[in-house]
Amino acid sequence: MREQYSTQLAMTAGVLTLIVTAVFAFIQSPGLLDFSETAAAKSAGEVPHRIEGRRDCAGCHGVKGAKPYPAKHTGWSIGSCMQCHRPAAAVAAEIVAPAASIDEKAGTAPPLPHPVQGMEECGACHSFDAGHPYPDDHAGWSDDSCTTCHATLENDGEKQ
Amino acid sequence: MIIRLFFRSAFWIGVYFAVAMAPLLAMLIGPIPPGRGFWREFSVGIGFAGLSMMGLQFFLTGRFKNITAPYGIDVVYHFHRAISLIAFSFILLHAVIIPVSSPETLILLHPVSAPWWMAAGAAGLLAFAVVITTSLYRIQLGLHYERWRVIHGYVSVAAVALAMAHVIGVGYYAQGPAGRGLWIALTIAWVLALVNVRVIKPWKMFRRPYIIEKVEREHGNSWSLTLLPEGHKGMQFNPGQFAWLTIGKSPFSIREHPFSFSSSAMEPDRIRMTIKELGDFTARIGETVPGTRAYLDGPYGSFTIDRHAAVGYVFIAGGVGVTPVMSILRTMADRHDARPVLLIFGSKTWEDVTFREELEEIKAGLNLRVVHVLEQPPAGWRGEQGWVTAELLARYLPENRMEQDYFICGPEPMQKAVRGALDRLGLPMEHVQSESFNFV
Repeated sequence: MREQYSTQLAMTAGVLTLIVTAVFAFIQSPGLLDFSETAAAKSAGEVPHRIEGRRDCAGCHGVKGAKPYPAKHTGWSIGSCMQCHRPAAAVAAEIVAPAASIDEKAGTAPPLPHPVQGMEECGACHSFDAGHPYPDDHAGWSDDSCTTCHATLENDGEKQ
Repeated sequence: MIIRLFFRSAFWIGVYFAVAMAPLLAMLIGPIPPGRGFWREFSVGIGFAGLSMMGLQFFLTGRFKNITAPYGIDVVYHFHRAISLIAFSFILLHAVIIPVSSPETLILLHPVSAPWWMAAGAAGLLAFAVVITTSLYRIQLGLHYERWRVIHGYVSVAAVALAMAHVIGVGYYAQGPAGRGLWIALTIAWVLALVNVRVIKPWKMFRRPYIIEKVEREHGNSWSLTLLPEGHKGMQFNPGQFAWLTIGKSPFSIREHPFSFSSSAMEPDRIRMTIKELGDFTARIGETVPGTRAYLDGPYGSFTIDRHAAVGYVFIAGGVGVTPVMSILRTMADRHDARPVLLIFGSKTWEDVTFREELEEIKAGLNLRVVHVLEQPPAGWRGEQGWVTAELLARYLPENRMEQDYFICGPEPMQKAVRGALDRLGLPMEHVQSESFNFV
């Protein structure tokens, strides 16, 4: 009898917990039957830059990259980034035609003729209205992505 | 009294549920991270609730008298056992639903590249599984009670700590001030509960030692220990209650066992406990040397006439289950309580009838009738034999049986059978009290 009473109390607490948890989950994600996207994809941040020609996300977003990924991404393969992170709508709209040429050119991009230390903001000199504008097909690339394709020189002149 | 207990009972259930649900509510305060699909959020929710419930176990087993008083400590311990299974199911479901609903997370389980917080989560789940398995199958695994208690205590703490590390490491909901603050508050509360159980309570016991004055053999392979307080006034208790006893060890050693008082509650400075040789610790209880130091944690339990006022009482005891009844009868005699009492006492043989001489003596000062029921009666026995059945009870219960309060104490199968018998006789179950010592 007393054990039954304890069991009834526990079962009641368990059922109430399940109900409250289901309500919580429904508030957070009302699309109960929406299986079109994975859960991770729904919460993943959007990619704020164009991705054509950038196969190696770790170049910029690895542990030693310019914008390393969060620690909790440790263990995820580089090839899996795009499974969850999608280009931002504004960026996607810009992509009228896939810039396949950039991809092909990535391996042949000329090295930078000067050291970059202290000059991390490439756009200061190389934007369209600056002294040394980059080519038209570089539109949409962020400042911190230049060195993904273009090799850099250190201050001492040695190629990196 | 009953109404006050009802409200205290409702209050503590409310507190329990609020604390168990607090992590979910905290998740909805302040900036809320985006949802990741119903099943992902549901699994996270039950994971949080499961961990919160597991943390609350430190309070349930902390023997806080305010928490245990409205229910009886046996109910609290059984609740602890039942809710553990539910909480573990939630944690297990959390671990299953996430990879099923989000297969991309499986890569986090890779043994080489798994992040530390994933390893902590997996280790925590394994530790919880060890706690549950060793508790459910202690006897089958051949674990002695004392060794099991040590494993249970330390692995439980490790499991909760690892699960907390997992929550903090994942950080999805624990990053905001509300989420972080709540988990910190819960952790502090759990640690304080542990400190109370493992440090403060043993320290209080350490300062109130007892000396074992006498060790006397009783019928039925039982022993009565008489404890005298050393430097204090002893322990006030209600007749029928029990305490955790530590003999010859430090109260910090986690080597304690629950036993009923058999002495009168009117003698708090001369406490007797009667213990049957059953196994483990109790098998050597008769070897205890007078003069040994002992410690008591108590009193606990709601199996007492002081909480159940009635015009008369019917006690149905089996074997050493007569111990708390003896405490009640001795107390009633000391109080000159004239209410009618019927004791139906089941034993295996006449030689096994604990306190049989004393029961005859105490009749002189009480309105008491004793009915012995022997499973294996001696030749020429003219009393009752066999089991305590509805038919047997019907022969002895007084006419005003609906106004009496009934107390059952004995082995679990006997308690169950007697309850069924009383139910068949149409007696109100709210007048039937029993207490189980099957805490593990």
